[in-house]
Formats: sequence, structure tokens, C-alpha cells
Amino acid sequence: MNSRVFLSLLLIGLALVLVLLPENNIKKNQLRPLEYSAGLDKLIEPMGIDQAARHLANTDSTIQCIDIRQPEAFLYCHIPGAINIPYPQLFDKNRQGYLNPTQKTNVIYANDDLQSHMAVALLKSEGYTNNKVLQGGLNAWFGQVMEAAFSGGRISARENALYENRRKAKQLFTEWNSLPDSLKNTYLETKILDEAKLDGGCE
Amino acid sequence: MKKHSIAIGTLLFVVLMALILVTVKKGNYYRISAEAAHQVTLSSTVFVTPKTMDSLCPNPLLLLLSEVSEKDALALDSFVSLKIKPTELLSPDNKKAFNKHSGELLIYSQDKEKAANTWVLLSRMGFKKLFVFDEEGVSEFNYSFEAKGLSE
Repeated sequence: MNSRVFLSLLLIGLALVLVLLPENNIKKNQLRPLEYSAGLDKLIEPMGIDQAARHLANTDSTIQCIDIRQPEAFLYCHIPGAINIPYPQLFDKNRQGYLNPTQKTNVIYANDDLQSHMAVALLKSEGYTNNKVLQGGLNAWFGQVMEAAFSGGRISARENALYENRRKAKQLFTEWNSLPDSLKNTYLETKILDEAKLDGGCE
Repeated sequence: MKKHSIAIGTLLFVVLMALILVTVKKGNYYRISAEAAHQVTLSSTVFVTPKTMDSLCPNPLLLLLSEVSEKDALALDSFVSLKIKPTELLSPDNKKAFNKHSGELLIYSQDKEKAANTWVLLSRMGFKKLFVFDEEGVSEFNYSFEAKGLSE
């Protein structure tokens, strides 16, 4: 057989094998399945409600809340500063910038944490690791923050600090969700400015 | 010269085929993308509660990533189960057991994060009829919120 023909047949055979190979769905920064499986014992800790309340009360700009509920539920009420990315739109191309931040940590929430855990797991398998779940979701937020009440008895310094955080977060939540949409962003910026003034910062 | 090029070509082909076969045999790659796995969660429910168990998951192999809690034991006691260490999820023995079972695979963990991550991993590895057990399922919002005027 002509050597050229033979080599061509070899190359065609190789090409066929490559075409028939299963698609490799590994992207940059993604963990391969065995590495992903090895990390199942060391998962990302969810963010507790009191921790989220503290971040909110301190207007912490390194945290970004992402609400994965439907838009109607988001409009009804949501955590101040949260952006709405409904769960079905999680992999829309124009949302990827929000879901793969480099300088912030996303705190993802829904009514409870079941769907949020699924969302974070899907994003993690895509290589987006700067996401965590709000433990208990909005139901837990309401139970712990919005319905927090001072009993009137003696409390420790730690309990007092917790209560103060919850009270500030509750106030911020109520004020924010009472505002028309056009004023919401201005309100958050004003809160950050007020904190700076109290600290003796520049305007 | 002719014989040389044929020999080199054949050797190259054999080496490449060997590399490809080793890679395929290892199986350390996903069958579907994360986006495709996400679509699966949209097109059908993946969370099974005691109430929906009979309709969604009548013949499951229970993958126990943790001990079964007392409140869940009643719903799950009657099923065939396999205790799995999460870090050994993709061991050859486990994969064999998953493939051998003709019914559904039902993931159970008291840690919802672990259960969700396991579902995503197995789904992306190509396993179908895969579910996560949760006593309550996805919740509605249980509170009402009243907008108020701004405080002074």
C-alpha cells in the first residue's frame, strides 16, 4: 500500500476516535470530578443569619446578597442591596459577572436554603467558588432578625451586641423595603456616607 | 524511507490510542456541563419528600452520606441503602453499585450542602433518575412584611 494512503488512513482513524470521545466539560478553574469528590468533606460554611445581619448593619461592601427567588417575591421584600437573579436564569451569560466575583463574596438566598445550596453547588462545579449560602434563607432571617424582641431581663454583653445588630438590620430592612425603587441605591450610599461621618471620615 | 514513515506513523497512532484509552478508562471527566445539570433541576423536581416519594421515587437505592435522623427514619427504613463516605463517592465499587441498580438513586444527608454537591457531581457524571431527600422540600415564604414610613 502507498505510504501516503496508509498514513492518511491512520489520521482519519485517529480523527474518528477523537470525534467519538465524550466531550470534556472541564473549564478553567473547574475541579475535575475526583478532586470535587475529594473536597466533599471540606465544603464552604454557610453564612449565619447574625453574621449576615452584622454585615448589613455595617454596610459591608465586600458582601453581595443574591436573591434567587422569582421577581415578584423579590419585589415584595428582599435583603437591602440584594440583586435578583432568579434560579432559572442562573446560567444566563449576562449574569455570569455577578456570580463569579473576584473582590466580593456572594451570599445566595431563597425562602429557605435548599434551592440556594443547589445553586451554590452548581456554581462551584462551574469553577465559581466565591459564593455561599445564607443559612435558613429569608424565612430564617425573618424569624431571627425581623421578629427579634428584647425580653427586658438582664443580658450578657454578647447577647446585647447580637440584639443591637439585629435591631439595626431590621431597621435597615424595613426602611429599604418601604422605599420606591428609584431611591433604594441612594439610600444605601447615604448610609455608607453617614457611617464615614461618624468615624470622622471625609465627605 | 517508505517503511520508516509507515513505522513512525503506526507507532504514533498506537501511542495516541493508548493515551486516549487510558484517559477514557480513568473516567475523570464530566459527561454533562453544569448548565445542563441546572436544566435538569428546572425540567423536573429533584427534591423528594415523604409525600412525593411514591410518585417520584418508588424504587430507590438510598445513598446515605450521613446517619438517618429519627424523623426521617420512618420514611426511609424500608429501602435498600448504601452507606457512602462522600470522599469515596466515585470509587469503582460505588459506581458499579449505582449502575447495577435499575431504579432511582436517592441521596440522603442531614447536611443539605453535602447532598446538593453530591447531586451535582453525580448528575454531571451522567447518572440519571437522581434525587435528593428532604423532609420538607422547597419552602414558601412563611411571613408577611408590612412596608412602613421612614423613621425620623
